[in-house]
Amino acid sequence: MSKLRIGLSTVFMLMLLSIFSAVAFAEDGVPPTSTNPAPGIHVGDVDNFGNQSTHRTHGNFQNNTNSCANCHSTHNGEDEMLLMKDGEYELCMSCHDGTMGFYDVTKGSGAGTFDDSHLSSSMHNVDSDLLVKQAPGAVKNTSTDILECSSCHNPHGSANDRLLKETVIGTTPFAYNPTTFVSVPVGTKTINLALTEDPDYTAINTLTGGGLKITKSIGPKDTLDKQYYSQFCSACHDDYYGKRSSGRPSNATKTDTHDYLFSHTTNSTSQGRNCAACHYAHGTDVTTLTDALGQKVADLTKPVADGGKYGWTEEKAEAYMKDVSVKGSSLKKYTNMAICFACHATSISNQIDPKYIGPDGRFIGRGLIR
Amino acid sequence: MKKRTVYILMSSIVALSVAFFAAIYFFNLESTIKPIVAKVDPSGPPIFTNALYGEFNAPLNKPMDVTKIGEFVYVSDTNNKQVQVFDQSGTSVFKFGKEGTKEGEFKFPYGIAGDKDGNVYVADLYNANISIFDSKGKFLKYFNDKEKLLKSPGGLRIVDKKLYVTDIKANKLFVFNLSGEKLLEIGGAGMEEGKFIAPNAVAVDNDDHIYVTDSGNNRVQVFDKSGKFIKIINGSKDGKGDPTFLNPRGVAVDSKGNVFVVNNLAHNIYAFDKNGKELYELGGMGTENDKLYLPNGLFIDDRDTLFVTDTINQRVSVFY
Ligand code: HEC
Ligand code: HEC
Ligand code: HEC
Ligand code: HEC
Ligand code: HEC
Ligand code: HEC
Repeated sequence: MSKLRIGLSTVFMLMLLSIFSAVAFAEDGVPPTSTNPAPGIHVGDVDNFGNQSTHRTHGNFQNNTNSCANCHSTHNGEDEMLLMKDGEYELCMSCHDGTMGFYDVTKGSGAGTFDDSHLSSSMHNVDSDLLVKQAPGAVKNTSTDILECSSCHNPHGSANDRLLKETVIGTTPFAYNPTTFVSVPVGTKTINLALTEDPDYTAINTLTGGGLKITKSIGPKDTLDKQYYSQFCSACHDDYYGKRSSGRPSNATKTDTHDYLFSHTTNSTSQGRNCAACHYAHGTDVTTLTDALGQKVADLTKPVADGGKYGWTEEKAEAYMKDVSVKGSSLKKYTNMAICFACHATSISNQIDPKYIGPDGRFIGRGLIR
Repeated sequence: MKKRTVYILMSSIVALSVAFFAAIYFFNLESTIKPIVAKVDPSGPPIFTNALYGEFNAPLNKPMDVTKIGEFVYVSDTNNKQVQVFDQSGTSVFKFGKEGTKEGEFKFPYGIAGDKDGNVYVADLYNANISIFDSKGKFLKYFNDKEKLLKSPGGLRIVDKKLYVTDIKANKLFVFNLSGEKLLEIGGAGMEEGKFIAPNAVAVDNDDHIYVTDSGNNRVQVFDKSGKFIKIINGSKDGKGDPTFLNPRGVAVDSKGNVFVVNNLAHNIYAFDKNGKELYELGGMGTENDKLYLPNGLFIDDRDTLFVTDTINQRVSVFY
């Protein structure tokens, strides 16, 4: 009896001990230091593969001793990678909601807007557990990952502008040479945007020593950049990438050309043939849409006294700009089919008011198309 | 085991417990035992007491700031574009405001504060104004920002008839009297002392020192009442080293002069004493009662009760 008792209490003591030491290990086994915040994670700028890259990273996170640990909680250690299981959107929106002063993604920018409070809104619904493969035009894309900010951006850094990912689906780079079809290796900058310093933030942009520059974008910069941009979108919307009649994956298995799906050319270096010519990356609404002349609601409502041309009421301007397409506003930059008109106007009609024709003999709004 | 042995064991357990509690009672040991469980050590960290969640069908959605006016707790319920009001027990008693740009409407209700008449001031980051409501939520008027200085008001506090408001885009702190005359302006974009990047919150202590959370620079700056820079608090020793803050947000000072700073991305609240020595941390990432998940706004009432908005957990947690 007494032997049994000693035996039992020893077991009990050992149990207690192991519980405490387990706790101690959980706390201290991975001391969150600046260079090793969690097992397998080493500080440095990391690319899509978690490898070190030389590119500058996301703001001042990385200059900070506990930067990684803050998104990758070292204390809730079930999975050292996973930090924000459900809260990624909220994490990004902690700063990108306007409380950082710049890069408020709920306000119109070169990427459009994530605001759903206005008329005619449509967007990449990053806050609603949609899957990446639910993208319209997804044929080769079968990814069951959830669509979120990090489907397109790498918060740690990237060779690309706007922290855009170098691999979108899986680990294959999205970008390839349009003629040879050879993949562009990771680490090469392919998303090259026409960025300019944003005059609204001159005070920040002229600071010395900070390196913080707030820029704005009008889309891909030069010819090849446009093709890469289209390849980026087409990593998910693969069937929308192609020449007008050919190149679409969904046509590959069809023998009768009458069954082919057609689309406007989206894979060329020419103006108006890349996704950014017609679409925003984030979303659109009545405030970011433009008419064929490139005017927005804000231009139409600007009081005549302040130099505005029309001085319309908000209601009138919104009624004019509203998108009435059956499928919704589809992240478009131009309302309804105004984009088509901006280019084709002179060829489909010879009754255009000359005041809308520029010196090049073309419709004025055309010049704004990427 | 024999039945009898079991009985003996059981009754001895009963006897022992009776003896234990009798001893506590007769030898007056309560006071030495109780503190461990109940009494709050006045110098120790405040303890989580309860949380305000909002109505079951209409929970808080991204609550960004909180204040207590009289006996009610007012919360800017930012994604619902409204203010929810709670009583002491944590029941949501009423709410006001809806989405829009007109009187009584919000786009991004943020800093919230009360004057001594119980009126409620709400800064709207997107609408670029401060609305004034009576304590029941009836819209009275806009704060008369005479020089039209406010571009993106964020943090807001009213202390001794002075209104302190941070302007996030302008990277400034403004101090107004309640009729809208500017008394003081601090800041401008920058990383040096006295400059800000995205100041998100402000607090004033009993010595009229002004604390401004300089979120983009990961620090809190302290100024005297004339706006002269005094020091930086950033979690490092003397505030001179690299910051340990990550996206600091709400700031508040208790009656003892201890300073509390919400560290949004670390999901906790750092406490410092008057001299800037770190005392303790509250919270930590999680969904349990005393944990926080992307916390933002902070208010400390005159009884040193701490109210912190916990955005992902959709609540305001109370620590005392
Ligand atoms: C702590 C605040 C904070 C959080 C959280 C945050 N960002 Fe940022 N973000 C910034 C700042 C500051 C900048 C500007 C500095 C820079 O360019 O790195 C920025 C810039 C960006 C840019 C533009 C970068 C460029 O070079 O033009 C993108 C894209 C971006 N963030 C995406 C994200 C995504 C996606 C998340 C969520 C995973 C996120 N951010 C979370 C603060 C934040
Ligand atoms: C702004 C928040 C944030 C910070 C700061 C941050 N990370 Fe991450 N990290 C994320 C997110 C979000 C993901 C998930 C990305 C995804 O799903 O592709 C992630 C994923 C990762 C992964 C897995 C990569 C993969 O593709 O599977 C590694 C490794 C990693 N992070 C390392 C780090 C290191 C090292 C640091 C510090 C230098 C760091 N992170 C700082 C947000 C952050
Ligand atoms: C479908 C892909 C996609 C998703 C999802 C996405 N982005 Fe972007 N984002 C882009 C692209 C592409 C750009 C560059 C657009 C351009 O300039 O043409 C961009 C630009 C930005 C910018 C710079 C905006 C500016 O002022 O020009 C920020 C900041 C940003 N994204 C943050 C976010 C955040 C935060 C989320 C999640 C809430 C997010 N993005 C989700 C593709 C995406
Ligand atoms: C990571 C995958 C991914 C990338 C990259 C991506 N998309 Fe999408 N896109 C989706 C998904 C998933 C949907 C469907 C879900 C939704 O509408 O939110 C979608 C929907 C759309 C829609 C239809 C929206 C509607 O309201 O019907 C348009 C238009 C669109 N994307 C354009 C673009 C453009 C332009 C780009 C490049 C800047 C792009 N996408 C890049 C995944 C992606
Ligand atoms: C010349 C202008 C133009 C270009 C270039 C363009 N689109 Fe579109 N896209 C439109 C218009 C207009 C619509 C809406 C009408 C429609 O659905 O046919 C649309 C609709 C869409 C939709 C929604 C379709 C649906 O079935 O719901 C997606 C997704 C899309 N585009 C993706 C892309 C991608 C990806 C690219 C680049 C590879 C691209 N678009 C290039 C004009 C364009
Ligand atoms: C940037 C200018 C531009 C824009 C924007 C544009 N197109 Fe075109 N479109 C052209 C040019 C140039 C051609 C002839 C060459 C080609 O096929 O690429 C063409 C060809 C066509 C054709 C075939 C006509 C023919 O004679 O072969 C149709 C149909 C068409 N476009 C419709 C549209 C529609 C619908 C839109 C809006 C979604 C649109 N286009 C937007 C420039 C544009």
